[in-house]
Amino acid sequence: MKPGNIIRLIVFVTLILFLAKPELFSGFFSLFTKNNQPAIYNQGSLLDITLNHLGIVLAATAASTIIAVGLAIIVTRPFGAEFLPLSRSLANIGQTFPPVAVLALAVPMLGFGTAPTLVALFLYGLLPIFENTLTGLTNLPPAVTDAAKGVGMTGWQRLIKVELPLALPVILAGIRLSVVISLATATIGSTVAARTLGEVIIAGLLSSNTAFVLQGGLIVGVLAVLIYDALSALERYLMARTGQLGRAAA
Amino acid sequence: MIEIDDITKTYTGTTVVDRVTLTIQPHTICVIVGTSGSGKTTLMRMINKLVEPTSGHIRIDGEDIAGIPAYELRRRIGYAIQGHGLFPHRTVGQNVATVPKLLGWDKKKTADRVEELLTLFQLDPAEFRDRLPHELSGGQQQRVGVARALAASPNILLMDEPYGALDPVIRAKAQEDLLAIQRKFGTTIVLVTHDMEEAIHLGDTIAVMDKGKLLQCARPAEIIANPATPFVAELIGTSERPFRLLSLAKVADHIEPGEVTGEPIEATASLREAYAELLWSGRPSLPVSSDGQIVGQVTLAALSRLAARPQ
Repeated sequence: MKPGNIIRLIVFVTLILFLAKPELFSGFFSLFTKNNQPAIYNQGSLLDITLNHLGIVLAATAASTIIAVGLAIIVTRPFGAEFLPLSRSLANIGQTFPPVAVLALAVPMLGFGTAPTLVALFLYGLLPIFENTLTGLTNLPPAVTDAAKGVGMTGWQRLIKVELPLALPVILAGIRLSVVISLATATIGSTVAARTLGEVIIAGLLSSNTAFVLQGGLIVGVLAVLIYDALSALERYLMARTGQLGRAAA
Repeated sequence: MIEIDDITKTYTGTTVVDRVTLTIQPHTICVIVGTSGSGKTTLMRMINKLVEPTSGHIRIDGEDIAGIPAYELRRRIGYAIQGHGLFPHRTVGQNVATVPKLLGWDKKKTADRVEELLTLFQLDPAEFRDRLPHELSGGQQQRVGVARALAASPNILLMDEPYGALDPVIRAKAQEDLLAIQRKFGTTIVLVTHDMEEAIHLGDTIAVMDKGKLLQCARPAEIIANPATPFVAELIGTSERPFRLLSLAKVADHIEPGEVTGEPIEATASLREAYAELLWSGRPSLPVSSDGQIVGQVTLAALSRLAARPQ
């Protein structure tokens, strides 16, 4: 096993252990507390909160992926080409809008809780996936797309059998970016009462308990690194599987 | 039979193919030769509707292709291109099975056909069927590309500089394979190249194009002897003409009776090879062998006469 994988495994096991039995780590976190403050977050199960956090990110990214990939497919077909600039600016707006502002605007309409967070993460996740899908679908090897036409595939068959499979590693890179951004951004959702790891961080800030802040921050950070690594490995596998290792992922 | 009738293709004011009329006889190889930008590839791509003509008609066996949906037409016409264009995410077997699958052949028939073609192209099915294209050498990839083009037994095969990326040794082998396969299946082949040597070697007829116009379409011997324009002559290479002419005929057809000693030449060799051997060994004649037997001789004097401009 390579050293990198050993480190990943250790980090992963430590994370699971911490989520399952946080009190095992109270000795470490008590180093960061003052005046007999609790060392481990005590206003809810860290495991539940983490799962909820992941659930929100997963749901938002899944929705972003469906919409962004769908849009990119439409604007790269002959009939949709004229919508390319429009959809590009829409996705860009999603990115430039600060997530906090989306939350503030969404709360009056959707109320407090998970819904406004989902909307903010969904909008935020669109651009990387959209841009990467466009890159993937428009930078295919010309000889291959020519051959796909030449053997008599219809437009739909070319998309499903050739274009999407070959663009998949690049699309996956976009999803990876989107997931990592969402993992971090989801913490802000706790300001509008979504149940995310932001809750732990905010509780720590309110009570000046550095141990809480660290717990929330570390879990988010470690999740982000592990998921990023796992998706990168999947991309490399797919690139190698299709003999495209030479093609740079966006 | 492919009838190209007064075809023109214009891209925003630039005429790429200019009123070309050309008939390609069934079961023959027609090679379209020209420099880059001559419109040769565009002309070929109009046969399977990868390019739509601006005006004119193309008929295949009398049927105007304008009335056939593009994807249906393309499934009936083999298509092999430079750089092979294999699907990198599919195995060799899946690549070859592409058109049969599109046509809805059953699994057994498709698998049998894949096996037959891989064997024909000297790729052991057990070894190569499940490999990915990037695991093959350039020559093997090219063979898989042609095997894929022939999978559904098309009557017509279009080839766009199929040997452009191969080194000379593999290229010569691939050309011999193509000639053998064409004889076996009787496929009508339209091949585009910029290499006159290749055109003369492979073509039953050669169509020379320049700046979108068809300059001449004739048998190789005719093109060499009577180039229609100075450009055609230049493409053949003036100093190459006698040798190109000799390369068209086989030793077997010009054997003279007589006994000579020395290293013999195979009857299947071209006259050009015999001529080179005569010059190189400094002999006035060579014995000719066929199946290990000396069957006569070929002489420098006879070859010199044959290399002269036909009257």
